[in-house]
Formats: sequence, structure tokens, C-alpha cells
Amino acid sequence: MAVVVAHDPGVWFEEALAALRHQDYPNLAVLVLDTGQEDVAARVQGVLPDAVVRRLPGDPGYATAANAVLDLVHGAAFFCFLHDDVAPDSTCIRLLVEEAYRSNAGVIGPKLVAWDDPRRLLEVGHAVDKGGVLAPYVERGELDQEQHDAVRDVFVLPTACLLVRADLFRAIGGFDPVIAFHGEDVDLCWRSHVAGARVMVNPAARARHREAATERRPDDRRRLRARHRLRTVLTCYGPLHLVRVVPQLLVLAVAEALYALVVGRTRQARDVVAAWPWNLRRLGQVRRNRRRLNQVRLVPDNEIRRLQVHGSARLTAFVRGQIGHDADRRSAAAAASRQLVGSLRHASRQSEFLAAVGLVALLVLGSRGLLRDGVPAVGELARFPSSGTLLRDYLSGWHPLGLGTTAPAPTATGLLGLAGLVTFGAMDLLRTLLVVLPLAAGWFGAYRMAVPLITVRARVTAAVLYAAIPLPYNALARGQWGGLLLYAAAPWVLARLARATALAPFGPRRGTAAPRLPVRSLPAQAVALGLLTAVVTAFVPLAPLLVLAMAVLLVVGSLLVGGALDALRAVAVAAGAAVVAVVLHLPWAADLLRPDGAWSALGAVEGAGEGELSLAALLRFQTGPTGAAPMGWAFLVVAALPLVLGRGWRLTWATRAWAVALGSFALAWAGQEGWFGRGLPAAEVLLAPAAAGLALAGALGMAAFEADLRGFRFGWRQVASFAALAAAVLGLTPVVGAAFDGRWDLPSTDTARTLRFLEDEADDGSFRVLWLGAPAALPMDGWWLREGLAYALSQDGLPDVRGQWAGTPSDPTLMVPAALNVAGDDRTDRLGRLLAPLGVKYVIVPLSDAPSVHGRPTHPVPDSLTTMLATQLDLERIDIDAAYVVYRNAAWMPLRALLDPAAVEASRRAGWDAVAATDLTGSTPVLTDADGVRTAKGDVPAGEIYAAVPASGRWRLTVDGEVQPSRTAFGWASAWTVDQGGEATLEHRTPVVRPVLVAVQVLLWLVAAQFALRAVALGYEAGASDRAARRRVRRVRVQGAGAGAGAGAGPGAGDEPRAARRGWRRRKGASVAPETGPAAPSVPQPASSPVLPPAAAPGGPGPEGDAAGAEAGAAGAAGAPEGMDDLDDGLGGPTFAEAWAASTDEAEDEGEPGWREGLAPAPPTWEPEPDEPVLRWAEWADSGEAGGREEGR
Amino acid sequence: MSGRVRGVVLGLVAVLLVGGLLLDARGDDGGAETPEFGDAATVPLPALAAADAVTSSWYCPGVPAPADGSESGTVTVVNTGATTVEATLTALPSDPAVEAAQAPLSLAPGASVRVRLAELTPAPYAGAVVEVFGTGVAVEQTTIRVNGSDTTPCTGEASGRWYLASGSTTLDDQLVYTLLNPFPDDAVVDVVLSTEQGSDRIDAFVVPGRSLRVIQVDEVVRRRAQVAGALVARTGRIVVGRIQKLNPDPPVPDSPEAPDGRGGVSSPLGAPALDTAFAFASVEKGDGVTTRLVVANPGEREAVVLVELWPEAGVDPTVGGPEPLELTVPPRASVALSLAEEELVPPGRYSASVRSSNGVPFAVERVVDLAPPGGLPAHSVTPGVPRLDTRWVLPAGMVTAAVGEQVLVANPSTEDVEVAVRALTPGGEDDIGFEAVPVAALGVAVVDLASLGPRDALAVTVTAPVPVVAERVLTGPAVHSRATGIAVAPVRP
Repeated sequence: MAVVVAHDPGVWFEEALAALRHQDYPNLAVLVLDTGQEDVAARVQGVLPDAVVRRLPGDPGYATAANAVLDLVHGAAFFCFLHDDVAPDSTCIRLLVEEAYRSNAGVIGPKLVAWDDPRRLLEVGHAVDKGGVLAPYVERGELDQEQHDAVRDVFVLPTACLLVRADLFRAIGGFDPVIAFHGEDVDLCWRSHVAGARVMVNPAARARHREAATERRPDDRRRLRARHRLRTVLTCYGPLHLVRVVPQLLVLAVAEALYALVVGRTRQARDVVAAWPWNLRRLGQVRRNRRRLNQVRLVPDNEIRRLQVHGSARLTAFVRGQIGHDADRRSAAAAASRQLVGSLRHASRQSEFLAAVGLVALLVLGSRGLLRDGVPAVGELARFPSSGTLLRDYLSGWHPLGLGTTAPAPTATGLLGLAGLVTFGAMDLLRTLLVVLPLAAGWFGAYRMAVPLITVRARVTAAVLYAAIPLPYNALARGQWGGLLLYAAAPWVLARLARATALAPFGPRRGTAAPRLPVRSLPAQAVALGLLTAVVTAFVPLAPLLVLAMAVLLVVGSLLVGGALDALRAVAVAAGAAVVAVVLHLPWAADLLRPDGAWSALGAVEGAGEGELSLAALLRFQTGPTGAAPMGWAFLVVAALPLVLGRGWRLTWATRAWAVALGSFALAWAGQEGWFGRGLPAAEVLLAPAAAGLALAGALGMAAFEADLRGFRFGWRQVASFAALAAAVLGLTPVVGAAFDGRWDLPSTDTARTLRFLEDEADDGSFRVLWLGAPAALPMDGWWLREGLAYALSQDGLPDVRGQWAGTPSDPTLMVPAALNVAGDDRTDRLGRLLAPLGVKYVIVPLSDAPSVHGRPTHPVPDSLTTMLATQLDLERIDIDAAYVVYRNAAWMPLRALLDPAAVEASRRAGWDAVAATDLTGSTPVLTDADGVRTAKGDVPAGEIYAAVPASGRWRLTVDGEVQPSRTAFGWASAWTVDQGGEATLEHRTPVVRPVLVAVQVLLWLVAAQFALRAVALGYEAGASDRAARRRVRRVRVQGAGAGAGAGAGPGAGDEPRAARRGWRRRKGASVAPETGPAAPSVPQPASSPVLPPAAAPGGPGPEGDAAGAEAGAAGAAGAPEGMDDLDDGLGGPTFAEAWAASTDEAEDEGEPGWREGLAPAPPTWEPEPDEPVLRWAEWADSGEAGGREEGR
Repeated sequence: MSGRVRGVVLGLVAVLLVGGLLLDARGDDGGAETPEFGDAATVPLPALAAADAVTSSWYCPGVPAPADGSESGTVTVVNTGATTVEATLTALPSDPAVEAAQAPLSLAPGASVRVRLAELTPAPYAGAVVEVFGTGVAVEQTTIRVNGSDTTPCTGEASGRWYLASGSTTLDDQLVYTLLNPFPDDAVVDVVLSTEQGSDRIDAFVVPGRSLRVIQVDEVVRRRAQVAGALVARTGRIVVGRIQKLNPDPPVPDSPEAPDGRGGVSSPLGAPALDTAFAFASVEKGDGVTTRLVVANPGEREAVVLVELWPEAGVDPTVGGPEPLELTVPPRASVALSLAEEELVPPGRYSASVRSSNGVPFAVERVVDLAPPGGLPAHSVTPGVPRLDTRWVLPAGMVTAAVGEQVLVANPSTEDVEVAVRALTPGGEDDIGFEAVPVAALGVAVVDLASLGPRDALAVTVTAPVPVVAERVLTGPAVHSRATGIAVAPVRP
């Protein structure tokens, strides 16, 4: 039974049916399963009157359609599954059946050759590796010289033409219906092997395959194949092999994803990673499939493995270029990885690869100590509590910040809690990653920022220059997590703002847009940027203002060079992003922005760091140990190059980038000078946009070097270029030097180790620690105390990351600075007593962000502060470390205590007089069994129970189940009169509205993410439509050129003699501006878009080009009708190259924007051959210079 | 893009960068200023706490408190405010074996309490911490020996540095430094004793928290006519006093055992800080009175000090005063100016100012030895006054049959003023007939309170329209005590 699955077949269908009609197999019945929209019955009847046609509506997919034979056909010995674009030779099916009987094969297939050129081989079966990655036995396009004509066992046969024993097919349940396309062949054949069937190829049988599916199904093949491979692996292996193989596949997937990220193939990374959750969600189906397969399992996994390629085909070939000892498998695996290796052969790719390797090496070298030993708790790099604690804190209505607050929890706690789930609770690992990975994120962001600049070298320059700027390493050395995160985000933000302007090359305004840029609306851009801003804002609350400032600075730069009105779009997007970020952080943002809120809640502390850094140091990004002169000036030299050399948009964008940089420098400097009267975040945060701006300028310098330098006569500009190059090399040296200690100058010990004794103190009763000192020295976010000084409170020891976003202090918390000011004004020498009701047991003044053994630069505090503390009668100095002034409060009372009579009397009054005159040390700790900070239990005697938390009806004390009456103590705290002792529980009850608000916030995030992702997808699709249209236009032109060639003009003789003369080909995917004329692109382009050299790829010189040109010419000569639709439908037939690209994994592995972006994949002739000249940017710029130059006029 | 635009951009970037750097360099004052915390200025002399203070404390550095009564010491607490205040007096003994003891005090307005420390903590010496839950309280300590007594103010400020310019360990002289640590944590102190024969050191002298320790200086540096001490705490803060006992005990008038004719006792505070200008309400030159101004320079640079003496009657500012006397004080040394040896200075009473002409800070003390004919010799030491004030409190005075009290007010200003001297009573400040005491410019007024009749406790205030220096002199057959008053809101002269 020949089973043809047809899906809106093209004009080739009749030829395929005719091939079946001519089969010499005597008992052949034909069943046509029609899954398309167009009814093919008439077409079938016209060729095969005896054939049975069954319509399967709803496009069920190939697998489901083929499975229909299980119900429709009974009594057949074999099913010969055929695609509707396969034409078997007249002897094909007979030979297959004969060989099946002869070899007792369960599955057997023919040799597949090209539809239009049967001399060229397509497939003679495949091997696979342990992960199901295909390793074809023949090289596509290989001339068939009978070199593969031996009958042999293979692991996989394509379903294009496949003879399966009917009983076997029934036994294994047919195809997996979930695997509709792309991978159904591997799955079926693997299960056949498991069931004990032989899978063989009989090359004597031959079938022509047009491989038209890709023209009709715009599937994202890479994504589907990744999913289906993993599904097949999970289904077919036994438990033992699963345990062994799955972790290996996971590691390989992570590695591949990381590599893809490094080289900028985000979609590839996404596809590789997304296969795992896709399968995890379908574990139930997998289990059912496994149960069914186990019923027929005859062959153990170790035998199956012998049929497979050892190791990972892609990885091994990538590393060694060859694998194994088996010649067939070696060549197969080499073919499977050809794309990976081949992409590295080109010089620009090599520089990209080398840069990636170098940066990864730098990251690993510089961070090895952190990766090995963890990140010390220095500055803002506080430790993370457990994921559950973070999430509980996020959901709770009470937080122990200061003396406690009912303000909404920072979103960051929720985000970190969720991230902790991802790392399976490994919070130290998460913390290390969140400290180390921002470096890589920043580098990659710089790389991506420069993508519209066309050249690979510009991208590499941006990434390397950004990596060479000492800012992040100094931020690390100073424990400035915020600076690190801003460093990671700044290039992404700048790139998005640049794209928002739509100024060339970031968009089509005032010139020509770079290729492959997604097209998005302003709201979509605002939401996308807002989502990014929101993530950063969670950790650096001032981020929206910085994003706005960057946009404004772009406008300022544009005022000089034009395009200011266009740049206002960036301001609009930034403003929208700021709004989105604020909305996503509701209700936390509402607390930050309330009218009486503290400025410090936004991540700034008045007077913080003022005067510490000179402008020169800021310009060198020398906020820490790295970046001293003279090498620290290198970045400015490099970034100045485009101002000297640049033309067109290189110069205009360099000006804008410099505007961002100078504005950022000015902001940081003004902050240091205290010009704002208000505090600003750490210098590293403010300088991050400057770093991004200089990186962009550096990339533009490289672009100008490549494009513009040759336009000048030899002179000082050439010298300046080499000076910039030398500066770039010099600028790298400090960072490389800083990397050698493996910690980026972070100390090896931290506050947590030095002050570890605090952790044991809670045994004597819960307590608080009052931290005083320079804001940068505090281990948590503080509140303004006096100029240059801040204070903060932690509970039961050292603070963790929850203390990094203090928000606005609650009213009771303001008693702390009040008490300190009383003492500071010399109005008391009983500060300890004033702090006692607050539960403050220790007062710690950090003079440095690390123990003194590291000789770290100190954060001095005024002598008057230490004098004040030293002259208190109830503060006892404890010598711990020179970096910390530690006082124990001799007048301390526990945070939860049974008040003695004197304390009871004092607690009934408010004001300092009462507490200053009363010794509260007679109070004893109670409720010592605390579960977090919101619940405490324990036996209490009768008396007055005190809790140093703000008086609130939300705090409830129950004794033996009975709620006790509460009162206000000391004018602010909570106390309960317990008449009869018993087992007590003190708890804070979260209001119902809190979970509701959290749910709303989560919903907002999901909506925003969905919107942004949709916008991204639509943007890419819009861009893809643009590209597809360009390709169609190109194909029209190629067709014309081919026609000319077919008419005798010769291959490659297009209508653009210049391109032909130069002999270059357009790089794959490097689309050009659309041409005007009848075949205009679907996305309108400005009238000023230049007419660029046409794609000469299919018709260009070179072997493939010759072939393509010949094919196209032949098609043209055959009288192919004009019009894109017809062309896309394949009139004239696909070129060999197109077919090659459409039917192989290589195309999807290329990491191009994806199949969904274009209905027809680009022909491989667009991929530059290693030794071929490629389209260099300069040439492109030459041709498109008109637009760029116009911009500057 | 035209070259003109390129030039504009390049020029603008260059101007902004260079201009910023120049501006930054101009504003570079050599580093960031460390901000101050609190409004409290360091007060280098005894002063009342702020009117809105929640609590205030007084530290009395130490007086003799032996159980046998051979000597004794008292602490006098006076409420100068208008409301009743509660206070706690904690006596800290020098003997570690004796525990500290507390005495609660309640003081009505104008009331005073005198506490004999030996009754709380019998020990060779005892210091006291008076903790006041409020403000307006002034405290003085009194050392009483058979050959004299001395009443001097306590202080509300502890310090990490103390300087004592004068001292003597000649034959039969006893010099004791009392180191009071009122705080919970230990203090570790280095002591440098500078004498005419060089320096001696006591390193890392530990003063445990909330205790008093003494250094018997005469056992460390023997037979020295001039001993200056500098005490610097490595950690912690302390209060340092000094008890100088001159000649044998009990004294015998005209005894050959007092060959230099000196005798008596003094127990003033040290100076908590060096300064470049000090004042004294009075210095005297005359028969039976030996006045020395001892200048100590613990620093590393030579100090050139000018001593200006203004006659009691004042000086016409348009004419000017006498030529100042100049002292050159080598580093780490002390120099004494004896008025008796200054032939150019005529006998009489003067107000004095002592200031550094080269900016090198120093400490200065006035040492007065009286050898009244037919009476007991007396001795007093008074630290120089680094601040002036318009209002002074003199809490622990008395007028009895055996003791007379005088109030001296020096007017360093160049205008004639009138000052008021009033008595503190439970009803407030009482007019005692000295509401308008004239004080000439640069002159000294002497108010003799003997006319008030016997008063066991007489606290007085001095109020002036300009910053002045007020001093109390208690005199009697066995008493000669001179002490500067307690300032209310001191200002730098």
C-alpha cells in the first residue's frame, strides 16, 4: 500500500502520482491522504483513477495523517509512505519490498536524489548520536557515482519515501502524533530498532525528492527538531540510559545555548533551552509512549547505542573536525557540524570567535576565585536568604526594615525568590551568578548594541572596549551591585533608545536602516524597554530616571548633528518605559514615590560619596583600584576616533554617544560636588551610561576606520587611527591585570566572617543592630542621618539582601536618628538607654567595606561621631577589627521581653525623658522561638509583654489561644498585659489586600512580558516580512538574470554588472534596502532609501552561484511566469542550493532569525564561502553612502 | 556632514572635558571634608549642659576618701535650674577591692547637696560620676586636708587627651594623677611625664571601665621641681585630675621641715585640650604670694608664648597696656614664668592673657603659693581658661567664720561694663547687692561676699554683658582655693 500524504501540493504533484502509476510492483494500491485546503481528489483521479483519496481536514500534520492507515487499511503487508513531492523510480517499490523480504527489514527506504538533477544525492539514510542528532551518510549535492549503493543498515530513514512492515507499524503504534513534522522519522525508526526491526536502505531503489515542504510550511524547524529530539530520547531509552544520557544532553544544551548567546544567536539559544520545558510539560505523554514501547521492546539500549555515533556529533566535530573511526560516520558527523565550523572560517567570524573566547577567558580568569569560593558580603553584595524566606517576605505585610514597616516589599525580593527556585534553592550559586554574569551581560549588550553598525569588527570593538572599561571591576571591588547591574543594562538600554530614534542605521530615518532590524511600534518599544527598566529598577530604584536622562542626552547630541525631532522618539519611549517600570513595581513604587517619601528610598543617600572622586578619576572610570592614569585615558582616545574620522551616520551617532557619555560624566561629577543638594546613587551607577556611550563611540570608530579612513589622504588621521588602536590595547591591560587575582579585587573575607559572633547573640533574645557610617560602608541600604552619614537597622545579626532597598523609613524608625541627634548634640550620654526600647543591642560603625586585613580604603566617619559614641555611659566598646567600631549597648533590652516593674512604669510614658531615666536591663527575653520575623512563640509568665515593633492591631499576642489586650508602649511600641501565663504566640497578620496586590503585580508583569514578547515576535515578523519581500524582489531579479543567462548571457550575468564584476555575494541574511519598482517590499521604505547593488548571489560567480544561475536561467528559459507568487510556488523548480538550504538542519543551525521569519529560506549561496570575498561593510557603505551622507547635510 | 559640524563637535567635546578638568582642579581642596556629627562643640572647660539636655553627667576626677578620715573629699551638687531634678551619684573608688556605690539625689531648684565620698566608698581616692536626668546641675569636688582644702569644678566632658602643666615631686611633695573612666569599656593610656631632667613614660596604663585609677607620680619621677604630664588614651576616654600635696603632713607652721615655705593641697582638673590662648581672671604679685604661670608644650615644635598682664584697675584701650612678656617653650618641655622674678612687673593684681605667637598650642596653669605671715602656707593650681562666657556659675562657695569668699571678674574687653553677682536660692537668683559691679576695660573687679554673713552653701552666678572670666577665691586659715567658675555657654575669646 503506497500512502501519499498530500498537502496542497504544487504542480509537481501530477508528476509524483505518475511515478506511482508507473511502478512495476504488481499489487500496488495507492491511498492519498489529503490534509490540505485544496481538494486534490480530481488531480489524483486524473492520474491514478484507482487511487483512494481520503480528506483529513484541519491539517493534522504528517504523523497523524500517516497514522490514519491504521484505521483505514487492513490486510496490507507493507505501507510505503510517500510525500507528495516524491517521485520513485518505476522499480523503486518493488526493489524495496524484495529487499525487505530478503533482509527481513522492518523499515526500508530508497536512495533519495534531487528532483531536478537525479545525479545528485540527497539522502541515503542517517546515523544519529546519542541525543538523536542526525548525521547524514552522504554530503548533500554529492554526485551519485554509485559510491553509496550498498544495501546496509542505517539508523534513520527519511519519511519522504519509507517502506514499513504493516505489522511493525501497528505494533509500535505508528508515528508519534505529537511529532507532526521534523523528527518523526527519527522517532519512528528508533522505536523500530527498539522493537527489534532492522532499518535498512536499498540504494538500488531510487526516488526523486523535490523537498517542497519548506516552501509550504514556515515551521521553525530548529525549535521543533530540538523539542522532538529530546522527546524521542526520553521515549526510547530505558531508565538506566536515561539517567546517563539526559544530564549529558542538558550540559550540551546549556553549552550550546551559552555559545549561541556569546555569538549573538539568541533565538538559537532560546530554541535549545526551550525544548526542555516543552518536554517537561509533556512528561505524561512521554510516560505513556514509554509504556507502549516497553510492550514491544526487544533490543537493549546498549545495542541501540552501537548503532549510533559515539559522543556528540556536533560537539566532537566542532572541536576536532572529525570523529570516530568509522569513515561513514565520520563524514556524516562532519557534515552535521559543517555549519558550526564553517561559520568560524571567515576572518570576521574568527575575530568574533576570538573575542568571545577572550572575553569568556577574561571572565573565568577574573572571576575564578568568586566562582570557587563564593562572593564575599561586601557593600551591596549582601547574602541571600533562602528562596522561601524571600518569597514569604515578599508576600508579607510586615518587614523588619528599620523598626519595622507595613510598606510593600521591594519587588526584588520576589524576583530573587523566584530566581532561587530556578537554582533549586542554591542561593549562594544564584548570588554568585548575579554578581559575575552582569559582566558578561554588559559585554554581550555592547556587542548587540553595535549590531546595526553592520560590521563584525564594530561589534567586537564595542564588546571588547566595554569589557576594558574598569567600571564594573571597580564596582565589584567596592561591592556596588547597583553599578554592576547598571553596567549590564546600559548598552541594552542605549541600543533600545537608539532604535527608538529610528535614525540610520538604527532605523530608516535620515538614511538607511541596517539589515535585520525588527520593526516595532513605539508603544511596543516602550513596553520592551520598560520591562528591562523594571528589572533593573527592582535593584536600582533610580534606573527609570537614568533611562530618561540617556534619552534626553541623545536629543542633546542630536541638536548638534541633526535629528533632534527624531531623537525625541527616544524620550517618548524612555518616558513610556519609565511609566511601565513604575507600574510594574506597584505598590512598592507608590511607597517610593509618595510625597513624604525619602529621597534615599530611590537608592540615593544625601552626601554619599561627595568629593571622593575627581572628574579625572570619573573620566577614567577609576572609582576603585583599577583604571589609573595614563592607561585609564585610553577609552576616551578610542572613543574620539569617530569624531575625527567618521562621516555620515558614523559621525552623527558618535556625537550622540559622546553626548550620553559626557552627560553621564557630568551627572556623576555634579553628584560628587554635591551640586544637587540631594544625594545620588554611587558613581558606578551614574557612569554606566557613559561606559555604554563610549563603547558605542568606539564601535563607530571601528566602522569609520573601515569605511571612512580610505576616503582621506594619508596623514594624521591614519596616525590617529593607529594611536586609537594602541590606546585600545593599552586600555585593556589594567583590566587583564585586575583579573589575575581571580576576584576583581574583592576581599576574601567579609563582614559576615568578622562579625560572625552576632549570629549567636540571638540566643539571648532577639535584638537589633544599629549601623552607622558612610553610606557606602554600611552593609545594607541606609537612611540619611547627617551629611555623609547614614544609619540602618538589622535584626538578629547581619543583614541580608532584603536590606538593600530600605524605602522610606517608617515614623517609629525616625526615632533612631532622633536619638542619635540627641546624643550628637551632647544632650545625653545615655544613648544606650534611648536605644534600648528599640531592641538595639549593638551599634556598629563600619569604617571600611571589608575587614582591615585587606587594607581596604576606609570610609572615615567624623571624629565627633566616634567621640559621641565613646562618651556614652552605656555603650561598651568591643574590639573586633580596626575596620569596625563596635559598641555593645549595656542598657539593651530584648526585642521581645517581659518588662520589670520599672520598665512597665516607663513604658507607659513617651519621650526620651522616661527611657533615659530608667534602667531597662531588668527585662527578660520571652517568645524566643521565632519563626522568621513575623511569628514568635514561647511560654510567657503573667506580666507585661513587650515587643519592639510599632504598635498595630495587626500584631496579635495569644496566650493559650486567648487574644491578649494590647497597648502602646513608650509611645510607639507594642505591649500586652498578660494576666495568666501560658504558651504564647506573637504574630503579625498580613492584610488580605496584600496578596491581592501581589497577584495584581504578578499579573502586570506577565502581561507586560507577554506584550513585549509578542511585540518582539511581531517586530521580527515584520522585519522578516520585510526581508522576505526583499528576497522575493531579489528572486525576481535573479530570475530575470537567470533568464538572461539562460538566453545566453551566462551564469551570473545579471543586470548589475558592477556586482558581477566585483564577484562578491551578499552574505546570507544580510538583506539590503528594498528596491523600488514593481516588486516593492511590503514594508514601506522612505523615498530616500538608496538603491543598492542587487543581490548577485544566485547568479554570481562561483560553483554554487554558477549552478544557481544556471538553474534560474533554465527556469527563466522555460518561460516561468512573472510574479512572486508563482516564483515562490516553485515554477521553474527550486535551485539545488535552495533545496539544500530548505531541507537540512544546517540552515536552521545557522542561527538566522528563524524559519518563521520568511516563508522561503534563503538559498545557501548567500552564505559566504570561506575563501570567497564577502560583502564588506565598506562596499555596502559605499553603495548606501548617499543616505548616510544626506543625514549630515 | 560638513567639516564645520565636525569641528564644532570636536571642539565642544574638548572644551567640556578640559573645562571640567580645570574646574575640578580649581575646586580641589585636597580631599573631601569629613563632615561633623552633632552640634556639640568640644568644650575644653567645665560647663553646664545644654538647657534642653535629656541627661547630663558630671565627672569628678578624684579626691581623697580614706576611711580613717585623715583626708577627705566631697562632691557638691548644685541645681542651678528652675525645676527639681533627679540625679544619681556614683562613687568610683581607686581600690579595685571596693565596689562602686550609688546615691540617688533629688535637688530642688537652687538646692545643693554635699556628699562625702568616703561614706560611700572608703578608699584612698574616689572619683564620682553624677548622672543627672535633666540639666542645670553644676558639680564641684573638694579636697580637704589638715593643711588646706581645695574646691574645683568637675567636668561634663571626658577626653582622650589630658595635659597637666605643673606639678612637683620635690622632697615631701606628693603628686597623684587620678584617672577616672566613667564608661563601660576599658581605657588604655600612655603617660608622658616631662621634668627639668627629661621625660619618663608609663605605657599602656589600663583604666578599667567605670573605675578610678591613680598614678603616684612622685614614685615615678622623684625630686623634680617641675613635672608636666601628658596623658593620651590609646582607647577609651577618661577624666584626669591631679592632687598635689605639698610638704609634711601634719604641717607645722614655720617648721624647718618646710624649707621652701610651701604647703597646702590642690586638686584641679587637667586640661582636656591644648589651645593657643588662655585667660586668667587674676594673677598677683606681692608679699607672701608667689604666682607662677607654667606653660607646657607637649608638641614637637617650639612654642613662643606671650603673657599680657592687665592691671586690676584696667587700661585705657587707646593707650594700651604694658609690654607682654615672652616665653619660649621648647618641645616636650615646660617653662614657668614667676611674677616674683619679673622686676618690670610691679606688685599688684592683674588679669592675664597667655597666647601663642607662633600658633603652637600649649597648656598653661597658674600656680599660686601663699605664705602668709603667721598662717599656714597655701597652694592652688588653676588651669588656664580657654573660653570666655557672659554667665558663670560658682556653685560650691561658702562664707563662714573661717572662710571668706571673693568673686573676681576679669573683663578682657575694651569697654567698661557692669556685672551682676547673684546668689542661687530655691526661689531662683537673689539680688545680694552686687547687681551692678563695675569692671573697667581690661580690668578686674573683686566682689567680697563676706558682707552676706555666714552661709554654709553659697552658690553664686555672675552675669555680664560681654564675655568675661569669673573666679572664686575661698580664703581662710586652712583654706585657700582659687577656681574658675563653671561656664554656661562658653565662647572662644
